[in-house]
Amino acid sequence: MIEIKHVLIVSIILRIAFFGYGLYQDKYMVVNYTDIDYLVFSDASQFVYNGQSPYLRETYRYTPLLSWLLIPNNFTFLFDNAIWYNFGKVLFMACDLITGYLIMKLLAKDQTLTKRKIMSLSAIWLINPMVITISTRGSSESVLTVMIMLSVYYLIVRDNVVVSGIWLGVAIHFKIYPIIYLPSILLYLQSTPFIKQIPILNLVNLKNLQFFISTIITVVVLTLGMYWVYGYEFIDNSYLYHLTRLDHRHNFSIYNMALYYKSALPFATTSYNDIEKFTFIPQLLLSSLIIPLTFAQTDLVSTLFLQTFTFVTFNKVVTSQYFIWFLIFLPHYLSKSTLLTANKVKGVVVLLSWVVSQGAWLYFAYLLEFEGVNTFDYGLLYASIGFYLCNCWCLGVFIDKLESKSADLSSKKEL
Amino acid sequence: MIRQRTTVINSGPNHNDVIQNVNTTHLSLVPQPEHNFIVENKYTRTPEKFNYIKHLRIQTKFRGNTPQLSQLIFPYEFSEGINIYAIPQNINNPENKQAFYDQVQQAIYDLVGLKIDSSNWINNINSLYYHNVTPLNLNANHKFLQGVKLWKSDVDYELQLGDKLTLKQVVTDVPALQFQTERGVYKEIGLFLKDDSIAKGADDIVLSGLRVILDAKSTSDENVFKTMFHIKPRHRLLNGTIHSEIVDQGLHPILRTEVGELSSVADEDVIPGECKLYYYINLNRSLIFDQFQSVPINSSLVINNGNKNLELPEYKINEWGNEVMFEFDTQPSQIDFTLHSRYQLPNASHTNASVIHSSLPQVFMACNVKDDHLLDKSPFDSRSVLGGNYEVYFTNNTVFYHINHDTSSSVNAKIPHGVTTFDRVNNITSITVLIGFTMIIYVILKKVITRKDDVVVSENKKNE
Repeated sequence: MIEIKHVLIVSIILRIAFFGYGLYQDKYMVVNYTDIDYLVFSDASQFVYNGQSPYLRETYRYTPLLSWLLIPNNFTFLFDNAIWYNFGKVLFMACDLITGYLIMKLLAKDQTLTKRKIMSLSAIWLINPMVITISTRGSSESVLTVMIMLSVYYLIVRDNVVVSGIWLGVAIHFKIYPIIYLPSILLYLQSTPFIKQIPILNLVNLKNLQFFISTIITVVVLTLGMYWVYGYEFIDNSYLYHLTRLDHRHNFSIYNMALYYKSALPFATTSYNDIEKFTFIPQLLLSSLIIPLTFAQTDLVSTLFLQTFTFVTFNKVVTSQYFIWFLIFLPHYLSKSTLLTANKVKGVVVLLSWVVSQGAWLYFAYLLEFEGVNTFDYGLLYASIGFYLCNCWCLGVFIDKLESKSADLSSKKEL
Repeated sequence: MIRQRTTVINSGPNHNDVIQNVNTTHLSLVPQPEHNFIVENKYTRTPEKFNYIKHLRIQTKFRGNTPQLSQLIFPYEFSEGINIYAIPQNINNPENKQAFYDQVQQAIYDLVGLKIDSSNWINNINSLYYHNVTPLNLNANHKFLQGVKLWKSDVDYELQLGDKLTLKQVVTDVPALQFQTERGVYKEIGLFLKDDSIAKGADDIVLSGLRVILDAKSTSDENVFKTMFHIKPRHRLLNGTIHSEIVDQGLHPILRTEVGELSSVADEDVIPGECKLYYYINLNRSLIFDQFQSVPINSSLVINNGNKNLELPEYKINEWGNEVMFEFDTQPSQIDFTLHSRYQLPNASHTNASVIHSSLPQVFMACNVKDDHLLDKSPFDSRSVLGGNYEVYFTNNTVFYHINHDTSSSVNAKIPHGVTTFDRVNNITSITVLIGFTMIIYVILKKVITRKDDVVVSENKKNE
């Protein structure tokens, strides 16, 4: 009889195997297994180790916290530096496993789920090759996912809003986007109607205040602290760059090709329908307002899933790592939707269409990137349209198939 | 007053019958059959002073087959194309700084017809540096060049402007030559051949022949001087050739240089164990060198000047490109230099890809030598306070052993670019975003309405 602990053991073994294979590929093959970003983090940590700013590393656009976490990459005591250099990957793998463990704990809170179901749902994260590849290649997304999951875990399982707020604050400092979870959580924590005519007042209660203040204080302390140490370059690289970037290099985003063409226009040229000025509107309207207002009080974790999926779908830049952002909530969502029960076929169609539309984009990107074939205007443009529309359709299915009367562990009734 | 120093190298075995006529006012030379002359003309004059330009050096190299004899004596070992260096002066405030850029822009435009904006320059160790793979001829009508005879277009030349203005031009395959006195020009014509019977090796070149002074002011009857002198050249040649070309790899081309087996450096003056192989290149701004990941195997990065941004497209970079140099620990048989392509301006060319030309890399051994004071005694020494590509990064006691590229070498990278319009892409994208947004809103509304219906039904049931 397979038990939950067996899934955990298998997931650990798989990560070690992928990690080991990565070392082999890096040493003996032409194409490296290690993600380019890992080299960026490591170089930045080396600057920090030498008492310098991590922003001396070109393209380091993250909080200094990440480079601090990777300082051991530069150690030489006890072992050779070649061994220490992998410290970051081990850290990311550990965070990835903790994320999986927290997903499991969150699922276990729902007493209607069998152990078998918890096991198979948590396997979506724990033994997912995409997740394992991303952390073992040295991408830092798992550090963020563990922060977000700790926030959700402390909120729902441990009922500790202060610690939950602190973790969300750290996550927002780490990467701005988790700020979209704030309205959902505040709506989730709101009291039963106090004065029906003034719904905004329902948001004001002790738990909400504790959560909100702990989140804000954490963000402010960390951000001011980093500003104090690194000055404006921290603000510029970690935040402003992401808000103002016109990323012209090809990525999954629906906006990508338009941004490439836009970036090539002379500065003075303006157009009545300059798309990059409006990208935030549908994205934030849906992910930070409409979806939280509609679903947050019914099922918080599924709402976080829908929000993140929407945020990624409408983002100006979309890379494979971003899929990890919503994958942490997928097991919970599936436990609450009918896609694994009454609508299995539709579930399979959703998965296949998402994979196929992504595959089509990757094919044209490969032709451009490695074969030098010009696929900008037709291949990539139409493939990104296909992928975007597929995402919107998937999102529609996710919303449609979310059970309305959720016996949700994260529903307000639990509080 | 202009001083003209013309060095005529007779590539034949001796000087027999080469001098057809010589007197105080005339000199006529005819090469032996199939041994045309190699000539370097050097003009020196006092220039008009610039307020803001302290030093300007323009070095231009055209693609062509330079005879080995020319390379051994006249060092024009800089990157193919045009290389311009400038050192400012009196720029103690922003207005003066701008005045310098305006002045240097005008001066260069007048001299070679090239407009260089202040943002196009890059900084190197001690000057501003501009490079373009396309060589440009000097404007023969420029006031600085009045009285100066430019012998031929499309030949390598060098112009330096400082306390003095000097212009050097090397011309190969020259048939008969005529010289005569000219008012305002002091001419010193040397006719030499390379005398290998006395020379000890590549570190000692012996030129023997004569010098003729043609000076309209001179009253002396003696104007022909038999001359022989030794040169300790700074630039030397290694046997064999190397080959460089782009290996296509989509947006990440590899510049591969096949070095093969190099002959060893065996000159007497070289200090044993003080030679290293270097690789120097001027990269077009469309090609990105990632200094964190693309340093060739077994080498270390010595120089990377220019814009180091790894993400910006070509049209957002103002600088001409990057100057990069690597030092090798061991002698490689092949150098693979991985590059990355910057995105190109949509519709940048009539086809669907831009072809980017860069100058060939220079691969050379740099060695420390004894008796280095003899290096700059050579009348043909190229070392200056600025410029010379890689030369300025080495100490005075360094000599360079070059390996020539074969004639089929090139650095041409193909980078695809968009071929449609912003409006088309923008409209398609906007409509698609709207469709997707509407799809989601529709589903949410449907969900909300269904939920309300469910609540009404359940409340009705309760009431029943």
